[in-house]
Amino acid sequence: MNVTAVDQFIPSLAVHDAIGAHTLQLQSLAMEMGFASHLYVQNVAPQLASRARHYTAYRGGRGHVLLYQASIGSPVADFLVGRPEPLLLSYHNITPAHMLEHWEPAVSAELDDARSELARLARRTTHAIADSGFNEAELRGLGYTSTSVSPPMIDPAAISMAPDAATVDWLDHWRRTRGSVLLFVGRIIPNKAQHDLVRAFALYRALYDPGARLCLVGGVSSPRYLAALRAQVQDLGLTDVVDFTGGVSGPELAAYYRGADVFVCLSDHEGFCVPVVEAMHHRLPVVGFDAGAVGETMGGAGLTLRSKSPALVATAVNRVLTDSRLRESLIAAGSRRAMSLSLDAGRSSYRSELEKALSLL
Amino acid sequence: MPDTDIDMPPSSERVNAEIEAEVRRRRAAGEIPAELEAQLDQAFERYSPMSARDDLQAGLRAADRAAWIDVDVPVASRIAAGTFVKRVLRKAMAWYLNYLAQQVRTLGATGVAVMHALALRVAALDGKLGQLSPADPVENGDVQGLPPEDVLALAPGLLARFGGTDGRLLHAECGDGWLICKLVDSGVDAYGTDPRPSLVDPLLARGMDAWQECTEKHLEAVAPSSLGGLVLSGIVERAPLARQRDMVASAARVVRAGGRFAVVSTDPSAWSADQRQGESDLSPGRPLHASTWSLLIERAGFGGCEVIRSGEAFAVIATRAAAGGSTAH
Repeated sequence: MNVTAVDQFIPSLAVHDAIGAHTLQLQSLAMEMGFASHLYVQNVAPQLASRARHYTAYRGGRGHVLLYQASIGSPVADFLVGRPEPLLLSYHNITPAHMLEHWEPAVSAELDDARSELARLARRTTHAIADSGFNEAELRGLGYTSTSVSPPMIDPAAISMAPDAATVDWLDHWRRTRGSVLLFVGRIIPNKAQHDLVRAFALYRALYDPGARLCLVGGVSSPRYLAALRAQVQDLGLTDVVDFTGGVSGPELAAYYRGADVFVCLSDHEGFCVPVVEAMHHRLPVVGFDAGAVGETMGGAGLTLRSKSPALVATAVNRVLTDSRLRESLIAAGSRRAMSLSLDAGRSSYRSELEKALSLL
Repeated sequence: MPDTDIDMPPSSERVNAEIEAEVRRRRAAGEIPAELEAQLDQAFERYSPMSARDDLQAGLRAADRAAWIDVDVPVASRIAAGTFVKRVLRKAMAWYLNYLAQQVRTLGATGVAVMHALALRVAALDGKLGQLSPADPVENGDVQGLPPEDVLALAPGLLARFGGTDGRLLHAECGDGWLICKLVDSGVDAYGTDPRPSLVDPLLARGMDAWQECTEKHLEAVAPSSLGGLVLSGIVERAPLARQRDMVASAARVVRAGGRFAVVSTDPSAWSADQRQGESDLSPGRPLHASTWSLLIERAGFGGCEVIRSGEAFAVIATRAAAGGSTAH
C-alpha cells in the first residue's frame, strides 16, 4: 500500500498529559517521515484546539492510515470500526474497572466499556504498538496478534525549566529545618494507591523521621477517594505534613522534583508511569512497588519492592535516604535509565516500529 | 568509593532481603508494634466505601460502628503546654459534648436500625425476584418477527447484490451472523452489530468482527460516507415510524456514493396471522410494506430500489446516489 497520510485519532487531547504529548510527537514524527498527518479528537483542550479537528469531520481516502491512541472508552472507536482505511493502534493502557468499582461506579463502567472496545478493535487492527511489555501482554490477551513495544515519546527534560522559586525555597527550608521530603506524582485515584503511601509515611515518621513531609502532586480523578485520603490523613494526625497539591504548573512540578529527597510509587496499576522517568531525570532516587509496568519502567534503576507493607516501605525509604552509597548508585542508574527513555531515543524507537507497522499494510 | 560501585546499584533482591531482615528484627524487638500497624490499616479502611452490592452486611456493620460518637478528644500535642491546655478544655466541655453526642448517637442508631430493616426487605425481594424474572423477549427471539427460514432464504439474493462491495459493509442487528459470515467468505470486509451478547459472543469466537451494540447508537458514531454497504434488520421494523425514518436518514449519511443499502423486513400481512398476536399487540411499531420502505429510501437519497422476497420476509435494496443527490429529510 502506498501510504500518504498517517491520521491520528485520540479521545481527548490535553495539555500536560503524557498521551497528548506522545500524540503530538507522533504527528511531527510522521511528518518528518514524509506523511501528511492530522489529529482528530472527541475532546480537546482550548490551547490545542487549533491543532485538531473533531473526529466526525474526518474524510480519509486512499493512501490514508488511521492510528488510534487507545486509553479510554470513546465513540471514536465505533467511528473507526466503520472506516475503510487500515487501522494501527497505540496502546497506553486502560485502568482495570474493578479498581474503581466501589469508588467511581460510573467511571468504572466506562472503563469496562473501553476494554470491550479495545478487544473488539483487535480484529480491525493491523498492528498495535504498546508503551510497555506489560501493555503488550494485555493486548495479546485481548486477541491482538501483531504487536510490538516502544516507550512513549515523552520528554523528561521538558520540565527541566526554571523551577518555581517559592516552592523550591519552601521545600529547601523544610529539609534544612524539619526533615526529609517524600514525593509521588500522579492523579488522585485508587489504583495509584496514595492511601498505602500515607500509611507507609505515617510509619516512616514514627520509626525514622518525625519531621518528614509527603507531597502528593497531581489532579483529582476520584473526588470520593480524595475525601477518604483526607480523612485518613486527619485521623493519623498528618494534616500539616501531607500536601495534596492538585494539578500544578510545569515550574511547580520541576520544583517538587528538585526539592524532594525520594520518589515513592506504590501504585497497584500503571501502564508505564512517566513520573518515574521524570524523577530519575531529576536525579531523585526511586522506590517503587513492583506492580503493572512500574518495575519494567524502572528498569533496575530504582529500588523495586516486592511488598508494600508499611513497615517494609518505611524501612526501604529510610535505607535509601541514609545509605549514601545506595542512594548515589540509584541516582546514577536512574539518570542513565532516563537517558535511555529520552525523547530522541523514543522517537528513534517509534519510527522504527511505525515503519515496520506500515510495511505490513 | 570507586565509580563502578556507584554506577551499578546493588540488586533489588539483595537490598530487599536486607530490608526485610531489618523489619523482622525491629518487629521482634517491639519497635514496630502490631497495634500501630493495625491502626494504620484501619485509618483508611473506615473511609473506604463499602460495596453494598457485594457485602451489605459489612456495610451495615460499618454504619453501626460509625454511629458511635467518641467525645474523648485526643490531647497529645507537640507543644509542651498543649497537652495540659487540651486536657483542661476537654474536661470543661465534657458536659456539653456529652449532651450533643447523646442526641447524635440516638439519631445514628435510629438510622442504622432503619437500614437493617430495609436490608431485610431487600433480601426478601431479591429472593422473590429470582423466582419471577421473566425471559428477555429480545434474548429469546420473541420480537424477531421473522421465521428464520425466510430470513435465511434472503441470503443468496443479498449476497449477489452485496458481493464485491468496495469498503466496509455493516449488517446492523446481524443476529447469529447469517449474512455477514457468507459475505466475509465471499471476500467482503463485513462486520456486524447486535445488542444481544449471546449472539455476538459466538460470532467473535468464529473470528467475525462483531460488536455488541444497538443499531442507532452505532450508526450515530459511524463516519459520514464511510461504508461501502449497509444492511439493516431487526430493530428497523420494530421501531416506531419516526425512528425508522431516522435510521434511513442515518443510512443516507454513512453510506458512500455508489454504496448499497438494504432493509430486511417482514410483510405487514404476516403480523395479522393468529400466531403473531403477541408480537403484533406488544410491538411499538409495525412493519412497513416494501413499497413504503422503497419510498422512504428513495426520498433519503438512494435510487434504483428493488425488492427481493422469501415467504413473509423481504429486502429492499437501493444504491446511494452520488453526492448532491441526497434529499434526506
